Amino acid sequence: MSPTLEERIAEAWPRAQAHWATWLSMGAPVVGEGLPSVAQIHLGTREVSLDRKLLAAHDLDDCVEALLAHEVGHHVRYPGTLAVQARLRLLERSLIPYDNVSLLNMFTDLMINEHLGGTYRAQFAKAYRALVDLDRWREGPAFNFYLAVYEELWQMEPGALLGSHESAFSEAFPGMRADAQLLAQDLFNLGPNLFTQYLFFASVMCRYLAPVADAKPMMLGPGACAAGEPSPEDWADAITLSPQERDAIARALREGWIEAADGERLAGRDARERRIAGLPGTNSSDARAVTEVMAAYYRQQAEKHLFRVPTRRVMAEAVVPTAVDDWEHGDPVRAIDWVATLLQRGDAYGASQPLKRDPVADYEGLELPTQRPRIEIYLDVSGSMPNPVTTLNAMTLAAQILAMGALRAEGSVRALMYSVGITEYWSWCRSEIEMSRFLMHYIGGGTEFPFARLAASVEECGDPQPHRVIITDRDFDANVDSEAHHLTTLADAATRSAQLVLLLHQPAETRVAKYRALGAAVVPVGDLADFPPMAAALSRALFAKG
Amino acid sequence: MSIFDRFFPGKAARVEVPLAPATAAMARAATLYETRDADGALVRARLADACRDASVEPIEPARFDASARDLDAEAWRRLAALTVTLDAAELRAGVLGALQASGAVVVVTGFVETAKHKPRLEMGVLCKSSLRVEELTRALLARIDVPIAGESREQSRVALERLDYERVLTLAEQAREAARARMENLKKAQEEDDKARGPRRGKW
Repeated sequence: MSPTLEERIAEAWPRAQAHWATWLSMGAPVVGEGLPSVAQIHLGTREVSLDRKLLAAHDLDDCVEALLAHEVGHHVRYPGTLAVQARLRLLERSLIPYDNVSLLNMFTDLMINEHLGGTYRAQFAKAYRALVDLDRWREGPAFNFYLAVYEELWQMEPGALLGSHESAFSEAFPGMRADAQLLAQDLFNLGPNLFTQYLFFASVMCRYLAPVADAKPMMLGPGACAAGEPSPEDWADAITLSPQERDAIARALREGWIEAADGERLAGRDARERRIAGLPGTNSSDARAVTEVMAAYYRQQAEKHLFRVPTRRVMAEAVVPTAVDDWEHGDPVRAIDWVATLLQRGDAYGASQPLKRDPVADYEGLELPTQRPRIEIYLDVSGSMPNPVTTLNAMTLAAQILAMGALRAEGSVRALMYSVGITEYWSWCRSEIEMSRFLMHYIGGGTEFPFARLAASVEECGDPQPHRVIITDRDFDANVDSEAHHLTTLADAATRSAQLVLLLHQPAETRVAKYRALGAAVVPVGDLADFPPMAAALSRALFAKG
Repeated sequence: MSIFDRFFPGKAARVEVPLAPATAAMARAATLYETRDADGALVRARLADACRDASVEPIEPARFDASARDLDAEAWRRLAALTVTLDAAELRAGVLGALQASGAVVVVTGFVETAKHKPRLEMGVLCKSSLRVEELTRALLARIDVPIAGESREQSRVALERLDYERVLTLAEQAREAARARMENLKKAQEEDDKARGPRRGKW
């Protein structure tokens, strides 16, 4: 009796993994039905799955080991992680302007198949012949060229993979076989920088993207086998070009693989905005995913500029350390006094039997100050500010920094965003993710600072009052001047808040003096490029008035 | 070697060479000379050794020097690498067969001519590309008339022509030229995409 598919998988799985590493932490492959391709790996869960029906329908049962080894290759090296996948996708989106065209799966497949070709080229060839329908190649000639690359790489008979379309394709694209051979010759020597290899690959493949017929380019070929979507954090991280990507772009320019305009598109002044615009979901009806990514991006940016928020004097019970005692399992680890342990018991005995030192109050009820900062943020999101979802808005980033700084100091934050109306998160929040998501809101109309809400907040908070930060530009001056009582409200808030900070973009000097005279701290912000010093200035403003 | 074979060398049987071990030997030989210059005396000695093992008179030194006169440093490295492959049993058997069949002059000058007429196959290229290693191997075997196992002579000829780096580079340049019009379409699409996705700036 012939072995079942499951038995064949179990038998082939160790050999398939051994092509890439002596030991891998991967679960056993699963067999399913109705999968998008005959075999695939989820790059998030690292689960490999095979489609029973497709394997049988295409008579690929003898290719199981090759398919498994191929999928492991996606996990181990090409692309390896969803974070790398996100970077490759943004790089590609800046080069290839068609939403429905991607070369990434072809690229990673080629890298893997070259690695495994010595053992499995016959199986891969069989799989491609079985899975790819080339009848519509005139609409998507890139895949034909891709198969020609394999024919050249493995020196197969011309047409071994292209079949009956070989002669028509060669006629439509004279010299394509030489192009394919050079790609096969040079691509694998460009490592280890995967982005360099991708740019070279894409620069050649691009010549074969345009359809022979007058139609929009399309992609042929089997379904993508590296599944899984990068997380918002992966995408956020990918918005900033990595040094490896910069090296790859510089080399691609040097070698003439891409033109200067492409280089500008990939790494020029607006590269960040282009990459943001290349995020999946941008310009679509569902922009939630983009907002989530951008919130993560702002958190990452804020991390770089984070500072400690000044203390608010809140009383808590004062404690002093006691004498040391044996630490036992179940005691908090932070109770261990490592210095006393090492001094008294040495590193060997001490490591197995540490000492603890519990803090107790001198007498019950004795209180001393502790840190519990609260910050209330008023962020101007009028039309004069850029939408934080499509570009880096320095004011939004400043708000993110303030919020994260307070939350990291075990404090809490609430925020209000205003333009012609307001949108607010007005309960005290202790979650970085929640607050960073909220701060991605944008209104984009006129500027009307909510003085009534400021006055109500000052009344409501009683004592102790939070820090209040207003992040805006010169339009704020007109808001102050529009009603006589606005100045009074501002003065009251400046007097009663722990600190009232005005973070003003290019303020008039007279106005700075005026607001400072009211008791507010003013941080003038020059240009977007001044952002890091601005964050530092903001920090200083919160520590000392004037 | 029989007296008949010595006087009528073309009648000796040629030994087929399997391609895979021959290219593997060539790849190893190329790495030896990637950063090292060739030693001309050693090259001559290796070829003379092969003649001795094939029981044929080696080529006269003056004749060898005349044939190798035009070799530049890179071609000498290539020739040295070619002679190193004589250490591989499969290839050596094929070369000895060729020596017995065609004589030393044809085979030794075949080595030199192969090194001379593949100027694109520099050691750096050979060390990075198995395709180019196969090309040099096939070029040598074709020039000294050693058949490749499992292939007809016509198949070997076509395979060598397909791999000819000089020709590949010329055709690839033509392919790039032919693609210019198609790349213009891509550029236009990029410009439209730039307009749609390009950064919009406010007063900042």
